[in-house]
Amino acid sequence: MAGLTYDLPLHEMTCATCSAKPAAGRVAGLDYLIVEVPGEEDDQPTVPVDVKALSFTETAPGRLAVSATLSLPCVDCGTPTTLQRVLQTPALLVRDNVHCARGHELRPLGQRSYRFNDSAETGPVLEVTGEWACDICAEPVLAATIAAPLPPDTLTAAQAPIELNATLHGGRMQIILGGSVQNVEYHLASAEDLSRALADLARAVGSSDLPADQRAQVVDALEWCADAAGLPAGPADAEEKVRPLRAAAGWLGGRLTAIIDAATGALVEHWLIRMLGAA
Amino acid sequence: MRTIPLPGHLEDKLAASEADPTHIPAARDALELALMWQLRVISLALLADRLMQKSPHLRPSRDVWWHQYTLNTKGYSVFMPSDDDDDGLREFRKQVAGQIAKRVISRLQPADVPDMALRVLGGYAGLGDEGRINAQLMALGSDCYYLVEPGEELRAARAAALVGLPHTPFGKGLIFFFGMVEPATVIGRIRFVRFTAELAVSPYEDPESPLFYRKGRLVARHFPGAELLNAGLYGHEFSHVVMDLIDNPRRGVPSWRAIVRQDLCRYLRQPRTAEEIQAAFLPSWLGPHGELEAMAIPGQSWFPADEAPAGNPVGGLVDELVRDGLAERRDGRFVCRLYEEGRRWLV
Repeated sequence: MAGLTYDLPLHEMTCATCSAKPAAGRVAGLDYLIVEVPGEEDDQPTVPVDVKALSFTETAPGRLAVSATLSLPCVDCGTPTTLQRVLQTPALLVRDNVHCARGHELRPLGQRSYRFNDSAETGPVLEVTGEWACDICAEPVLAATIAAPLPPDTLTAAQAPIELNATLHGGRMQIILGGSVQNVEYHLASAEDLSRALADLARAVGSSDLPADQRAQVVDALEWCADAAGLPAGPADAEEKVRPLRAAAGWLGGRLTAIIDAATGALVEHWLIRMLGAA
Repeated sequence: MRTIPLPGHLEDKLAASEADPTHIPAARDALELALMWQLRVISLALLADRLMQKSPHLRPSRDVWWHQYTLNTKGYSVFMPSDDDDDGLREFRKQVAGQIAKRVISRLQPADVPDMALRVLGGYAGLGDEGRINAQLMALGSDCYYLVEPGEELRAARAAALVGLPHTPFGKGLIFFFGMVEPATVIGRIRFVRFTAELAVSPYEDPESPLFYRKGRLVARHFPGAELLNAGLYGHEFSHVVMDLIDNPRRGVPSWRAIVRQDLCRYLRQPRTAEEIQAAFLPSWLGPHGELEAMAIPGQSWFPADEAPAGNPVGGLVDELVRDGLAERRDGRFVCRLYEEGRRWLV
C-alpha cells in the first residue's frame, strides 16, 4: 500500500474473539468509582490503517459513495482481520476534464465503472473505465480507463473533488496523473477489436473537417478495412483499397498508428495490420 | 507468573543491591525506580484494555489520559487537568495508541492480573502483595507507598490459583497508586495514606475523586485545594469510616503505636525539630483537621484497644525511640540512623 489510510479507534481494531472478552467490573464497597464519564470522541486516539481496497458506488452522476476494506492484525491477539467500513462521507465528486486529440471536451457516455488501485509507482488512484465521445470532431466512441490520483485526505475530508484529466486518442490514451504524463496503451486482441476500431475511426473521419474528397476516400478505405478485418487473408484488391490511407497524416495518421500499435498477440501478424503498418 | 522485564540499568541496580546489602540509599533508590517503572508499564497495559472496550463508558476519559500523560512527561501525576487544549496530550494519546496498535504495549485484562508479579529486592512479589512490597520500602526508609484495590480479592484469586482451588476469575478494574506519601500513615486504627507525589497511577482510577475509603484504609490523592474545602472532603470520607467501623468493630490496624513508631523512624531519616515532628504527626491522632474529636464512633474508639492516647502522644513516642536506641538527639534535632549509608538492609 502506498499511503491511503483510514483512521480507526483501537476498540474497532480487535477480532471478534478479543472484542468479546469481558470488561473489568467495579470494585464492591469502594465509594470511589462514583461517576463513569464516557470518554469524548476526541479522547479516543485513532490509528491510521492502510486501506487494502476501496469500492465505489455511483449515487448520482459524478458522485461516489466509498467503502473501504481494511486489513490489519488484531491489536490484542495479532490474528489477521479484515474489516469493511462503509464510509458515509466523504463523497467523491468526480469531474471530467477529458479531451479529444484536438482539444475538444469529450462527453461521457453510459455507465462507468470505478476501481481502486494502489501501487508504489502511482500511489492510490481511482481508475474510471467508461466511454466518451467528441461532439465536435464526431470522433467514434472512445473507451478508456483513466486514472486519477486520490489525495491523502480522501477518506477524511467531507467531500473530495476528483478531476479526471486525460486526452484520448483513438487507440491510445494519454493520462495525466499527478502532474506527470504517462502513456497508457489500450490493446486490440482480436479481429473483432480491430474491425470495431477501424469502424470507429471511419465514423470519426466521416464527421471530421477533412477536405470532402479526401474524407470520402479515407472513409471508404476505413469502412472497407473494417469489413475485411474478419477475413483470414487479404483479398487481391487489398493493396488498392488501403492505398488512400497511405497519405494519412496529422491526427488521422496518429490514430491509425495508435491502432497498429495497440494490436497484441496473434493480431500483430494479422494481414491487415501488416498492410497498414507497411503503409 | 507473568513478569515485566526491567531495563538493564534498573535490573543492574537491583542486582548490585542484592549482591552487597550494605548500601541502604542505593537499595531504596533501586527498589523505588523498579516499582515505578513496572507499575507504569502495567498502567499502560491496563489503559490498552480500557481502550479496547466497546462501551464508551468503559473507555478512558480525558482526565484519565491527563494523569497518564503527566506521569510520563512531568514524572508525577498532576491531579487537576489543564482546561486548555494540549498538543502534548494529543500527541501522547496518539503515541500510546500507535504503540498498542503495533503491540509494543500489550493489553492486560483483569483475569490476568492475579498472575502478574513485580520484581522487588530478592525476587518477585504478586501485584496484590502490597504488604510485602511496603515492608521492603519501609525497611529501606522509603517515603513511597504502594496500595492496590481490591487487594484482598486479588490476593485471594492468586492464592486460589496457586493451590489449584476452583475460583472465579478476577474481573475487577484494578486501582493502584505508587508514590511518595506524608510521614504519618495511620489515623487511629485506620491506615491513612496521603500522597504527596503519585509516581504510578492505574487507569482504572476515578480521576475526579481526591479521596476514597475501603476496608480500614483511607487514601488521599495528591490534590490541591483550599483547607476548608479539603476539610469538607475529609468529613465526607470520615462518615464512611464511622459507618464501616460500626459494622466492623474489629477492623483496623492492631497497633497504632507500632505504625507511628515506624513512621517516625522513616521521617527522622532527616534530622527534624520537635515542632516539625508534632506538625507532621498531628493527623495520626487528631485527623488532618481535628475531625477525630468531632466524629465519635458509638461505643467504640478511633484507636485500637488500649492505645487511645490521653493527650498528645507524639513527643512520648519520640522519647521512646531515643530510649530504645532507634533515634538520637543532635543539635536540637532528632534523627534516626537506621537508614544511613553502610548499614546492612534485610528485607
